[in-house]
Amino acid sequence: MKRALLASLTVVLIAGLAWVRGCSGPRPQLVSARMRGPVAEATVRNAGWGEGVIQLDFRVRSRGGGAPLLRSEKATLRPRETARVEVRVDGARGDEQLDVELDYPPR
Amino acid sequence: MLYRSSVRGLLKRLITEPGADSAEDYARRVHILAATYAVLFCASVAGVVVLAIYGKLFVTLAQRSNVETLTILFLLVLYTYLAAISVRGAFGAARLGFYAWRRRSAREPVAERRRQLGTLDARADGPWAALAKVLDRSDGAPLRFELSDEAGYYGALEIDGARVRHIETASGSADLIAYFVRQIEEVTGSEIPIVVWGQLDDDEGEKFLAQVGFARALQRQLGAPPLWPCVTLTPEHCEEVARRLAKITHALLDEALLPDWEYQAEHKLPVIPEPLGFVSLGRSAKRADPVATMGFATLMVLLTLAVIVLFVLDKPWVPG
Repeated sequence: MKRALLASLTVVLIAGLAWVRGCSGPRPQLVSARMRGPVAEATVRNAGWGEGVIQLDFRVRSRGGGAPLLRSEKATLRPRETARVEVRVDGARGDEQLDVELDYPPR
Repeated sequence: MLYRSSVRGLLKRLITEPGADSAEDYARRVHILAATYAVLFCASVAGVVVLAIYGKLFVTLAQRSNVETLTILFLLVLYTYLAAISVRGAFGAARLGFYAWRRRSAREPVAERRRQLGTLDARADGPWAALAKVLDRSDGAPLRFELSDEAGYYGALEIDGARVRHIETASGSADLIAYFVRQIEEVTGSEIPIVVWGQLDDDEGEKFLAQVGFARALQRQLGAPPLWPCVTLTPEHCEEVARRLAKITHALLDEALLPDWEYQAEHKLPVIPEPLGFVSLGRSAKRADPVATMGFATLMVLLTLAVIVLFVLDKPWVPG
């Protein structure tokens, strides 16, 4: 009985570890964000071994004040990958303040 | 046959009567129960907090992975329920630790035990059980075992035919009856199964005891030998049982700080699961000790909490 319980527990643990290894999502980290002319650019690194779709929310604020401009973009990150995500913002001059939020899983 | 009896023995030791074998087992059971209540309460509260803080993440995961979002609410209700039923036990475990610490550092541990006994609730009748056999004394004296030591009085075990009752107790536990009956079995060498637990099915117990009472009345009327199976205890047997009961008085005082949640247990293994459900295997126990029920609940809470925390630390892949 004890041996059966131990064996079951071992199987559950191995299955759990395999699940964590094989079914993990990405662990996205924002490396940098900047305006390049009318283009908002964010560099994102996947610090995990999983993959999946992430969501980036760009928030562009004009130096002169006023309501911020919002753009959202989705991208698929592969394991341990660093990627650049760009969004064109029509009418932007390049001197705006840029805030980027990362979300996983995308809402 | 041997395998069946060993499985039955294991189930009895683990689920029905975990502390009945010896005084050491009884004391160990009380400590395990206290730790179980404390862990169950803390883990349940932690589960509620983690789900509340990361609610948005779990709703998103549930929506994205085709898991019913209501599962999160179900877990919240389960954790809240388990926290509610374990809060008294967790408080009792804290008091138990506090009194143990005071006893260790006190000059007169007996005075500390007396003080601990004084803090218990008012005395009343405790749990009872019905035995398959009638217990009698060979000298005709009433069968009553007082539970007391230098610190005070913890009630008494009173036997009336096939009924065993813990009386005048501040907070009795059904496992005391299991321990008592097991010791009588060892001392007399007779098997005495407990067939009904009063806290779980008092109607069935009263019905059974009424039949026993009828058989005893008929025996007296006929002047016949016992009609109902009977175990007779000699004064020497009673002395030995009383000596064994005296060994657990310290554990009884600690146990009185913990609630006694009595449940039945049923284990089902669906071979062909619902909604077809043609074949399922089942096993039931008339009584499951709180160590087994609360212990299993604790395991489940810890397991689900571990998965929840894992999801927070290492978010799973979801379809884009």
